[in-house]
Amino acid sequence: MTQDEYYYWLANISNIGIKKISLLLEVFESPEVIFKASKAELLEVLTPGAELSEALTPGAEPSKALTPGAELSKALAPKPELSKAPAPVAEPSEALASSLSGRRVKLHINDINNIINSRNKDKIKRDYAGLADKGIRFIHIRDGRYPEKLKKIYDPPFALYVKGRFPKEERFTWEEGLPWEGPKCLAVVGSRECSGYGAGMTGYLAGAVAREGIGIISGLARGIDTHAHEGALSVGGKTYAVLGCGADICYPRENFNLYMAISEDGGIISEYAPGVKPISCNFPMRNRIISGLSDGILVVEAGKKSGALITVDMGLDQGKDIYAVPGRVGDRLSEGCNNLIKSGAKLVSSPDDILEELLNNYKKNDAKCNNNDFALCTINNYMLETQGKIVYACLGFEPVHLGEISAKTGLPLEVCMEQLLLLELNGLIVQKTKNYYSLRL
Amino acid sequence: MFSKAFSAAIHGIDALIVSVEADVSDGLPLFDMVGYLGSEVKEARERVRIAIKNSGFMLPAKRITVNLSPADIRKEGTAFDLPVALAILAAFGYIDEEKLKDCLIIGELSLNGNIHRVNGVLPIVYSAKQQGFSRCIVPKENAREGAAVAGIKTYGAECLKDAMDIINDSSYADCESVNLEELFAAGSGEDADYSEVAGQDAAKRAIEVAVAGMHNILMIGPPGAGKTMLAKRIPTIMPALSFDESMEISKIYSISGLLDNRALITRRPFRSPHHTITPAALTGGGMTPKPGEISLAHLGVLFLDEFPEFNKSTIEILRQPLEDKYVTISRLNATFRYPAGFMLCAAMNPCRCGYYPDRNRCTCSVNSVAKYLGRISRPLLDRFDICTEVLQVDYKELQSDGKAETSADIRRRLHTARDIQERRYKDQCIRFNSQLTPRTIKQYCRLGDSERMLLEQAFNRMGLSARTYHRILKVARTIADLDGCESIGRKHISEAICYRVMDKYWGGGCGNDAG
Ligand SMILES: [Zn+2]
Repeated sequence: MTQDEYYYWLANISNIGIKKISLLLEVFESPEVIFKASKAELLEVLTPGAELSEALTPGAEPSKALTPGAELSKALAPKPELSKAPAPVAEPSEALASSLSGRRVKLHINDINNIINSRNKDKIKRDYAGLADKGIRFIHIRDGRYPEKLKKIYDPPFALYVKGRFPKEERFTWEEGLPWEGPKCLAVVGSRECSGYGAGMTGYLAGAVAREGIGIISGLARGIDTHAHEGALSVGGKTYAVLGCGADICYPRENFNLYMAISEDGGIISEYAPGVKPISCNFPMRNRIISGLSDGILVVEAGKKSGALITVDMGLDQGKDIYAVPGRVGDRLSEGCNNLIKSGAKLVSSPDDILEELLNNYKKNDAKCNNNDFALCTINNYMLETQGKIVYACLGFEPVHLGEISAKTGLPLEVCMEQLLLLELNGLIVQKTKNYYSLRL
Repeated sequence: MFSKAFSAAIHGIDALIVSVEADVSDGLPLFDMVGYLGSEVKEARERVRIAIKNSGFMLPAKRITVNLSPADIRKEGTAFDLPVALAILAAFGYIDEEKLKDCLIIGELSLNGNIHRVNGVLPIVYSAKQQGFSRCIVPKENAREGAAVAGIKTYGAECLKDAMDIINDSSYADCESVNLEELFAAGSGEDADYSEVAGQDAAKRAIEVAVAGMHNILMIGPPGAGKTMLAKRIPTIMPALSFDESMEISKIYSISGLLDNRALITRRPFRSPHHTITPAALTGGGMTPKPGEISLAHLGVLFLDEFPEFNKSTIEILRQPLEDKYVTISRLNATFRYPAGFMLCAAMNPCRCGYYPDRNRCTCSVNSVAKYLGRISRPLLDRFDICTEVLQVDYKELQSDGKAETSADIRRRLHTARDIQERRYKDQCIRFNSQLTPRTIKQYCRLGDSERMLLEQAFNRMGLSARTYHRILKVARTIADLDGCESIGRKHISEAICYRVMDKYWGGGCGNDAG
């Protein structure tokens, strides 16, 4: 068996999770050793003496996660008094030791039996070969291709399953490392039930950022996630979806076309083995990977208790920059975003706001339309009748019904209908719900 | 001793004359009734005998046989009590048999001899007149219904003795009379009016177009936005009923016993059955077939509120009547046909909670919104030419009163459109734009190059389906007619597109244009 197959075996023993694996690896060094260890050797891990000594000498990976207190405050540079800001840690190693011993899991005799019973070489080889058939690659944490960024988080996944094909011109190939090691990545999160404004802004920002070569990471969910992936794909950019189920399962199912497009032009990433069903408790866990793989997190439309805020919390712990698109006061879909801005997240009103942080030598392109006037720029390109201009002027990002447009402009209904149709045919406005019009982003 | 009286049986919405023959002969004292009788008619024996006795007449112990003919029609109901009683009394010589010859009699008897109301007086009197009868005797309570028929005298009788006196002595009572002109004048004074509905200009305009071409309309809006209020007023902008139309509707109401004490129905009906209605109650039926809600809405409006809540099978049976404008009910012994030329108006919430697409209030997921709309079957959705959104009216609009148009204003505008259609289709078997078929659409809805371009562009942009195409053209034809335009212009098409019935999913047809 190859080393990869030993790792694959270790990652897929029932009831043995990340924490138990790291416990085992601290004692046995490699999966191969665990595979070949006798029962007596394995039983030694159960002894309290071994456990105690392990607790006092913490592993290498976790220590990285908690030390950079400086990075955390950097995430909130403008106003560091966010409640989430870490309490000053005087002696990091002490704090770490206590937190580890508090959380440390123990191996049970049943776990030892599971390890021994799962040592079926034929089955392991067969299963491992099956991954390739599905176009899925297995990358364990000690693999050179495993993203360095992800190793730095508090509890990195032991292994990743990646479904994706990367264009040849990509600088980083599979042999050298994952593509997100070089280019920067932006995580985009937000509500599943987004408004027209949220959908438009997400698509626009994701597109503009991806056009500059930045990868867009999101979760393939409905709403903001979907628009983020689509925005990146629409400009030929790279986008990655982190799933809470096996990488071979498209969830939600209505995003199947998107799922296929992403696996062509980006990657589907999961820490769960193929075939794992989308159960709801997996989803918060995958958020740490979304934030862990990114260099910054953009939040568009998050309610007060949105799941997107979990990703933000994890991102803060990991020292990522937070960007938020503001919403109107009183709009319940944007309450979370506005609160984030209040606590120090960077307000985003144009792609430049993100690009100037992520790219070192980024120069603002003045010729390009700024967020606030890009709509006006487009309108000047069209010769509109006066009535059309009046109708256009009363539209915004929130969909407005035909009847309200007529009432606002004072123009008769039939005039509004005619002008709205022309505006729509010219691609200036969109009608996502019948007779509800909003500006095209 | 033999005598003969005349009565009538309801068949569909018409009446057939039934002769009631009574024979009295010597033999064992018996009372027999024959002639394909329903159970209520069989029971008439007891009611008639006791009512006669309690009215003060002695029946000698003789053998009485009553025959109702023609014998191939099943006789139902209690309206034969009175003619049977009078025929027997004539056979015993209490009534001059000659005087029964030009007289049609209906009425239910109670045991003390009083006459109770029956259903279907209007169509019965109407056929009596056509069959050449000169007098009708009907229950006093129903007398006004019969009086609406000109050319025949209708007398209302309160009890058996009353009825005898009317027959024996033509000067005993005056015949019932109704002033039809007055009735129709009063009928046009509507109590509901569109001026009472504040705002909602878009929905009102959609309704105006719908009425102009008799298009079926679907209203979508949050609860409390005023969908019912708008629908209720649709009959007020329809043209006034002609006498013939009024007679047609009144017959249906008479048969259903819903005419009350009105002589005729002079307003266009508005029926809004609850969503728990059974299929039989909607289209008509039952053991003794009765018109259903769709026939009661004939020449008026059938309003189905909470449309998705209706049972699927209940809604499906609407398809045939919507096409044919009548409904056929088959029974073992007969087939009945009730008119059902109504305009369908349905209303629904946009989603389960009712507030989509207001994302601040709607709590439904995109999936559940799609599912909610999916509850209406495709073929039925195809029956709607027009779909309009009814918005939540804000407080400001509610306060600014006085400026809204009255129903009469709208009706005047509609007049032009109806006139044009009448002239256009005078040699055709259709009357309204909504009845155009794909073939006749080509003939009557020709487009100029610029208009065709616009429609094509819109179709590509919005991803509309071919089936929507014809409906948009029909509606555009109606809008042009309202404008008094011979040719369909760009603005007519733009407006018709706004009334399209969404195709797949509510937000559908617009794809994803972000980025
Ligand atoms: Zn809802």
